[in-house]
Amino acid sequence: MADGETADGTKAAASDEPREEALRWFDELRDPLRRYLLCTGASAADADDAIQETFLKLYRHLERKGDRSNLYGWVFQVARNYLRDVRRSARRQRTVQLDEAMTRGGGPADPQLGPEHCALDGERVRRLRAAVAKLPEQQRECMLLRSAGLRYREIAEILGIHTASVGTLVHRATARLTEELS
Amino acid sequence: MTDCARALGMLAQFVDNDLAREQAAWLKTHVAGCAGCRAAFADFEKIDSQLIASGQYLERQSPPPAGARAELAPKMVTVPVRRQVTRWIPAAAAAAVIAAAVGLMPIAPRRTLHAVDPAPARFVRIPYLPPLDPQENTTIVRMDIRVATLIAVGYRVAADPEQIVSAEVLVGEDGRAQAVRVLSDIDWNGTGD
Repeated sequence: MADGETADGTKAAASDEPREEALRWFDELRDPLRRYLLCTGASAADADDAIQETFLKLYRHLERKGDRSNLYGWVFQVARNYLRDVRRSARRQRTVQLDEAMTRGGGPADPQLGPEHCALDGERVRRLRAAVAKLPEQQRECMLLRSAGLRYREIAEILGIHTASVGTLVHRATARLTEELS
Repeated sequence: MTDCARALGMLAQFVDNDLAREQAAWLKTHVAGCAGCRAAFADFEKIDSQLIASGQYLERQSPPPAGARAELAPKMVTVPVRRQVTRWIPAAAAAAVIAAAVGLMPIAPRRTLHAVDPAPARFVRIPYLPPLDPQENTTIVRMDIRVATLIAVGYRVAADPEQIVSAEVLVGEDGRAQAVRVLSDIDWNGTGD
């Protein structure tokens, strides 16, 4: 989060236009949100669609002076809902399953990494994601949000729990993952 | 709370560097003298780094598209705001709304309404319709509906198709029914989708 801003929406206390504010949120949250969506098993195309829809909705939300108590969490929730609707839709079949998402990619996207390195990474990631998928919902969400690169303070905000509770949640999830991956 | 529970509860704040100086000092002292917590912290750091690496790996595999911001910005235009209206209209007119919905919708796999819904009853979306924009203006219409109609729009209902139930229908801005909330005490049956 940028200096002088909080995740609870006070960022825009001196807001100018909703459009500008929505775009600032886009600049700040697009990458972690996208990583989060990819980690949940969304295809890149669905993740990018979800991001577009989410920030358009955020713009409308700001324009209509909607609740600003937790815009950080709001953005992730709207994106999650969008993906859920996409997955339910009989008209769209682009979303792939978690395991598939973890192993897809074909070749290395990073030219500095050789195929063996990428295969190793892919296998490690696949195992980790499979283990995360087995966690109870709240622990799973916590781990997925961490995979997106968010700080635990931000994760607590998104999950609507106290920061201190995240510690316990993280410890339990870690213990289970360590056992699963050992 | 034991010292170990207190220490493990600080894991997240420790990683975020959010602990006060005194807390951090206490934690370091405790972990230095506690083999169990030392092992737990080591496991945590290992998993934590793997989690972050996994997100970065997926991002490398599917880099974000260029120009997404430029594509988004022009779509952010002001739309007229209308208030949500709750209207109670005669059953005959309401029936026309849901009949239109039935006519417009494809035959979709049936969806189950769960047997035990928390009270008060909630709206259940009509299956496989495009999602309703959370900001979209909606109208709630109360009407009597035949169970056969509910079945026709994709719900699975274990009840006599000829039975009439009291319900509220959520209608979107395009005039199409989006969701139904059944008010009658009816026997919904099934295992969910």
